[in-house]
Amino acid sequence: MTRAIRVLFGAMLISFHARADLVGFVGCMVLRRSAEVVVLPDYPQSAISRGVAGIVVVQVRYGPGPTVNSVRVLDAPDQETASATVEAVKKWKFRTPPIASTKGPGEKSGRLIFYFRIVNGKPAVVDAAGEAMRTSPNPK
Amino acid sequence: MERLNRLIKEAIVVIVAALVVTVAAGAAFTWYAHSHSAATAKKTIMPELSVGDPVKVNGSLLSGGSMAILLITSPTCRYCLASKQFHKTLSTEAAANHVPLYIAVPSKKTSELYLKTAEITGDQKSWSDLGFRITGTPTLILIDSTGAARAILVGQLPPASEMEVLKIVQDPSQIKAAGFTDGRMRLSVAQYTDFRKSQKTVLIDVHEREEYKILHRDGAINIPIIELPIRASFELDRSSLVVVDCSQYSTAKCDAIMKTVSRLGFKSAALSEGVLVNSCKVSRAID
Repeated sequence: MTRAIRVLFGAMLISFHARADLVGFVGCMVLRRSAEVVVLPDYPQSAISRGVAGIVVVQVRYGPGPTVNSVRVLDAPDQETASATVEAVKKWKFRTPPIASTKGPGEKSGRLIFYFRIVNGKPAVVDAAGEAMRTSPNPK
Repeated sequence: MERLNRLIKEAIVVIVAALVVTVAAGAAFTWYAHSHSAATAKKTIMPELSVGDPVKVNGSLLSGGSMAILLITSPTCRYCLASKQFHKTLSTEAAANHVPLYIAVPSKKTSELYLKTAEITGDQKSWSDLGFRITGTPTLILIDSTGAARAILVGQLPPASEMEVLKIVQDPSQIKAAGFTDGRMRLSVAQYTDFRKSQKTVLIDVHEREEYKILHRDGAINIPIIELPIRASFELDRSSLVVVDCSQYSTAKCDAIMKTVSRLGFKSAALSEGVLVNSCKVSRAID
């Protein structure tokens, strides 16, 4: 009997910890909408001179507070653009999106997409979701 | 005590012998079933039907007035049973609107009772009469006045698609409506290869990067599902037909992806080879 109670108690502890470790995954737009402080990455000079362009996708974890807990690069044309993006995204601040409250009390996680482009010799970094929000304020 | 020991030993020997016999019989059966199915499969290399292909049964075109419907079903397929009510409504609507409904079943004899109890009425055909390969059941093929397939719907349909089919049956002139055929257009790999020669297409693979790295089709652009709503407008050409590689997805998931692509203002089609998840696999080859 005592053993059964111990096992039950252990299982409860494990499930409690698992619950605390839950990460609420949010869509790109939801994540971007919940950003309060946005810092765009700088286009590294060496990348510009080498003509490096492309997409950088990062997985961001934040919460329960507004600051970014971690940034993981999923896709990048080179190391420099990846590092520049990570440095910039670490400065972002988020508010807890309403939808995430149903997805557990722990961290929130989502993706941010940036395009590093050189158009007519001019370098530009585009925050894709931010641009989508600007052109279509309420995309479904 | 000695007798008891002997009895236990004998019992163990009998159990072990029974186990050996069972395993041997199982292995023999599996080997036979596998070799038999492989042998029969080799007999029939039927082409897969795609949108635009003529639908032939016993060598002749299926057509009737402005449109016709071919329903491929099976009494042993659970997704067919789940779609029973829709198929009944479809047969009622088809009869009311004078749209010929052909029902292809594995065997007319064994399927008669099923169709009778399900109240699905139509011109019965046998699977072996079909001039193309069945990828899964249920399959619903909408055929236009020329006898060509305008839509091939494999698997249990979501309610919205069922409604769409019924609307077309009520007003057959809608069969050529681009929204439906584009939204549910399914291309085999061979058809896609032909299609891209005549039309601007872009093939997208919506798996995650890790999965894409392991396996992807030549020329496919990797845009994971979660990034699709954002990246589509930046990376895809609106004048191109966006072909989504749906080979590994269920009909419902494939529909959801294609809906997303259509909602973003792109013409979409699904590249589907093999059997979709919410349809029953047709494992037995047709002679």
